[in-house]
Amino acid sequence: MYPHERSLVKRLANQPFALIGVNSDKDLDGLQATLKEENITWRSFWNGEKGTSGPISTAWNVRSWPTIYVLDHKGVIRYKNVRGERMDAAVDTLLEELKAEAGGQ
Amino acid sequence: MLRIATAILMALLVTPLANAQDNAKKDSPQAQYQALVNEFRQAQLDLSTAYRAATTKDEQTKLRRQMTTIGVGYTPRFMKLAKDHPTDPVAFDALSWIVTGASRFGGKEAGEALDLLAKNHVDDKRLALVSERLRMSSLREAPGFLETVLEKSPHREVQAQACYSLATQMKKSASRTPEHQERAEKLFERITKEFADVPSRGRALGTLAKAELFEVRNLGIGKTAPDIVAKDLGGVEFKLSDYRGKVVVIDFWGHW
Repeated sequence: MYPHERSLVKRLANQPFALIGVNSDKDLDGLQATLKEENITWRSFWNGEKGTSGPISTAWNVRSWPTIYVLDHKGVIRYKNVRGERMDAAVDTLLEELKAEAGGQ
Repeated sequence: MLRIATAILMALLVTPLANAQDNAKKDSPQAQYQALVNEFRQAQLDLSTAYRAATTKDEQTKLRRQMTTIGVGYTPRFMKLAKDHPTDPVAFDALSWIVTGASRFGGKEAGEALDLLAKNHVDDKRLALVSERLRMSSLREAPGFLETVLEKSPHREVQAQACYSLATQMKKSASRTPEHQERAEKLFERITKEFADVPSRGRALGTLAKAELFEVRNLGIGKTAPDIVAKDLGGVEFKLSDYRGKVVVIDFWGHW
């Protein structure tokens, strides 16, 4: 998972794009080393001490990990659980849409 | 002397008789089913023993592939058993073996097995478990089967499981077929009204359905994502809506 996300973040570094994590690890201190080792540079919300039973994943009814949502620039949910190449394609489509809209104005 | 002769005679008489009884038992549909299940379990055990003993990566990859497809050779044999004895209770066991096994290792008989279960066993109480197991199934025939069971089963518990699994299936396919979103919402609503108290895997279906309803109503394709306000891993609070104007991938992840 991490290598793919790293390359996505790198490829779209200058684009209006953000990868936001919701991390469900209970041990926040232990996680700091992982962030370094895996070069995880993107920002994550912390789901809290209850781990996978934390407030964010509960509100979003997440029961399997990883779960992916892709939102357009208006904050509308456009894709769910797309991974790998399908995630890239979804993001590219929405970036095109954003550009077309900006160009049309 | 007479006593010894009687004993021998008894032994001669009893032995073949016992054998004949054994044979009859061995051929009973129930015994055939059990033998098949045992054979399958043994094959699984043998494979995992071989996997643990494997020394090269290639060997391990090959064995892992075999493990995921191990049931494919067995489904036709369970199907034959079910068809040879369509009215025997064992037919139900054989068909549900095919259906629940199919989610793990495929098998082209699964669709037919669902059709036969709906046709010949729709009154069976054990369809509750079969319906529950179809919740996340990717079988093409699963939604149709669940519709039939929900409509025709006389048992409330079976109806409840079929309703919940059908709702889950509809939710799953909503990104491809938008009208399924509304159907999912209706079915989850029905759970909260009619089947809320029915237990499933240690929880009440009503509780599960409430969370599902929130998801269907607020987290479906085309809905504006609810905001998230929480701290990041460094303890700094931020909001999902801070990123409005950008394309955003939200990734629920964990390092475990």
